[in-house]
Amino acid sequence: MAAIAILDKVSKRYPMAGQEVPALREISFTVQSGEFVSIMGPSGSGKTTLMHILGCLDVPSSGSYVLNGIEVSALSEMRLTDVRRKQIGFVFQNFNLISTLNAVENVALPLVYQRLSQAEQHERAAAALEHVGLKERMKYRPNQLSGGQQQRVAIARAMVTQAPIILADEPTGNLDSQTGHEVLELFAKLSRDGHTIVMITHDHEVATWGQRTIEIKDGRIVADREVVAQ
Amino acid sequence: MIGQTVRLSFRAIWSQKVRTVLTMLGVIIGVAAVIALVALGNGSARSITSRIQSLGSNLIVANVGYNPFAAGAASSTTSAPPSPPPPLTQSQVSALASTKGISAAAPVMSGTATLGVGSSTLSSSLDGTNGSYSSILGYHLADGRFLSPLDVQAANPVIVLGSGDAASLFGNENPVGDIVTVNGMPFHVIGVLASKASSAGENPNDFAVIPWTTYNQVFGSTGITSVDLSAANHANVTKDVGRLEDKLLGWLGSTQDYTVTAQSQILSTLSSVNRTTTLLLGGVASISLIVGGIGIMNIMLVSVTERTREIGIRKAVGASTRDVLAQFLVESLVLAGVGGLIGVAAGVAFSHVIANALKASAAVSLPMTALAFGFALAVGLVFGLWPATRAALMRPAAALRVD
Repeated sequence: MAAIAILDKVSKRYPMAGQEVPALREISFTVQSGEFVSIMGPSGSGKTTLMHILGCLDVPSSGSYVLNGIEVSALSEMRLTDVRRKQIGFVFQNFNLISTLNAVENVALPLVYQRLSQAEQHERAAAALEHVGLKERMKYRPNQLSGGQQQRVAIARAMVTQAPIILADEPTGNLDSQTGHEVLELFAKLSRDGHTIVMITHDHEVATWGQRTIEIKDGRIVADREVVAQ
Repeated sequence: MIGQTVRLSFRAIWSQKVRTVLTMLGVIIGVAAVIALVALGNGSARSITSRIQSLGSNLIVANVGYNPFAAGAASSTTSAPPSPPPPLTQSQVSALASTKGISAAAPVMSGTATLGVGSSTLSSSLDGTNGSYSSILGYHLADGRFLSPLDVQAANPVIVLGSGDAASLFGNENPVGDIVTVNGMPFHVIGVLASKASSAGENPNDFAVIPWTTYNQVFGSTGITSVDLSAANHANVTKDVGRLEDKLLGWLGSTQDYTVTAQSQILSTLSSVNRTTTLLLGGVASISLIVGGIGIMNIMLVSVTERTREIGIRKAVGASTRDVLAQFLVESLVLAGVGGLIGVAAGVAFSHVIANALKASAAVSLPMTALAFGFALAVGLVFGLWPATRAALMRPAAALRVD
C-alpha cells in the first residue's frame, strides 16, 4: 500500500487577541491509499482545523504535509486550488450544496472547474448520482431533497472527480441516526470500491465505521489504533 | 466554460427578481436618458440645420448700410450716426456677381404690398429682384416662368407668386396668365413657385416677387441696399465673403458701411452650439448611468457577502481565484448588459414619444446607442470589479465557517 497523505509535525496557530493560539500541535500520521480513517475528538479539539489542512483549504503554520507526492504546506493559493481540484473530494456536515443549482449541477461543479465539456460534465455527474442511488432526483434542487439525499448528492460531488482522497467533516452530524446509518453505509461501499476516506467525527459509534481511528484532543494525537472488526 | 458561466449567472440573478429589477432600473434609466436626450438634441440640431439649408447653403447676403457692430464702430457710438452710404448701382451688382467664386447675384428689395384679384385682397411680402433670385434661394417653379433679364431691363409689370399667395388668391385655379393688382396697379402673373418646407416662425411660401426695376417705380425705392449671392462651392464660402468685402470696401471706403454674411457661417455657429448642448445633455445623462453603476456595486457587495458560503464551496471543489472573479464579474456585466439593452429599447421608445408630444424631431443615432450600451457595460465592469475581487480573494476555510 502506498502512502497518500503524510503529515509530519504539522502545527497550526491562530492569531487571537494579540497572541497566537495553537489549534494543532505537531500532528504526525500517514494515511495509506484505500484506507478509511476516522479522526475523532470533542469539539474544540482541532479536528476541523486538521480537516482544513488535510483538504488544502488552509496551510499549516509549521511542519510538512505531503499529499499524493506533493508537498503542499508551502504552496501558493493558486497551486493549492489546483491540488484541491484534482486530489480532494469534500463532504461537509451541513452538505454545502449550492441552493440555486439542481442535484446534477451540484455534482458537476468540480468538473466545471476542471474545464470538462458540458456533455462530459453531465455524463459523469449523472453516473455519480446513480452510484449514490439518486438517479431519479437529478433535477431536484437541494431544498426539494431530504437531508440524507442532500448528503448523498454531496458524496456524489466528492467522488465525481475520482479524487485520490475523500474528506468528510461530520457527515452524519445533521442527520438522524437512521439516515446517518445509510450515509455511513455509502462510505463503507466507497471504501470497498477502493476510495481513500478520511472522516472527522466526534461520535465514537460513527468512528468505528472506519478501519482505523485517530483520536485528537487539544490539538494533539492521543490515540491511533486499528478498529477491531465487529 | 464562458457560456456556462453566463447561463448560470443569469440564473443566479434571476433568483433575486425584485432586487435584480431594482438594480437594473438604475442602468435602464441611465441608458434611456442618454439615448433619448441625445436623440432629441440631435433631432433639433438636424431640423434647424435643414431649415437653414433649405434657404440655400451657398447663400451669402451682402447689405449696404450703417452697421454699428462692425469693427472700429465703437468709437463713433457717442456721436450721431453718419449719413447712410449710397445704394449699389446695377453695374456694382454685376461686379459682385462676377466676383471669383460667386455664381449668381440678385438685388433684393423687400416690402409689403396689397395684392388683389377681383374683390379679394391680400397683404403680402413682396420682393423686387432679378432672375437669379430663385436659384440662389432654392425655389423651383411649379408653373409658368421666372423673371427674365428682359423683364428687369424693361421694368415689366410681371409677378411671380409664392405657392402660399397663389393659393390664397386663386385657390385651386392656375393663376398663370391672370392679372393681380399690386397696390392697385395691374401685374401679369407669369409663374408660380413650388412649395418649400416651412421654416422657423415664417412660411417661405407667402410672398411674391416682381422685377426690382418695377419695384423701384411702384414704391419709389431708395435703391439697392441688399444683394443675395450664391457661392459656386460652399467649401470656399469664407474666401468668397472676403473677396466681396474687399470690393465693397473699395466702393464705400468704410468697414462700417456694409455687412457680408454667409448662411453657412451661421449654420456652423448654430451647429456647434447645438453640438455643445447635445454633449452637455449626454454628459448629464451619463451621470445617472454612473449612479446606476454604484447601484450595481452596492447590490453585488451584498450578494458577495450573502454568498460567502457558496464562494467557500466553489473554492473547496476547485474554483480558482480567477474563476470566482470571473463569475461575479460576469454577473455584474449581465446586470449592466441586460439593463443596457432594456435601456436602449426604452430610450428609443421614449425619444419618439417625447418627440411626438413636443412636436420636435428625434434622431436616434446608432453610434450614440452603441456608445451608451458600451458605457453601461463599462460601468458594470468597473463597479463589479471591487465586489468580484472581494469574493475572489476570500480564504476558503474562512468562507466555509460563515453561516
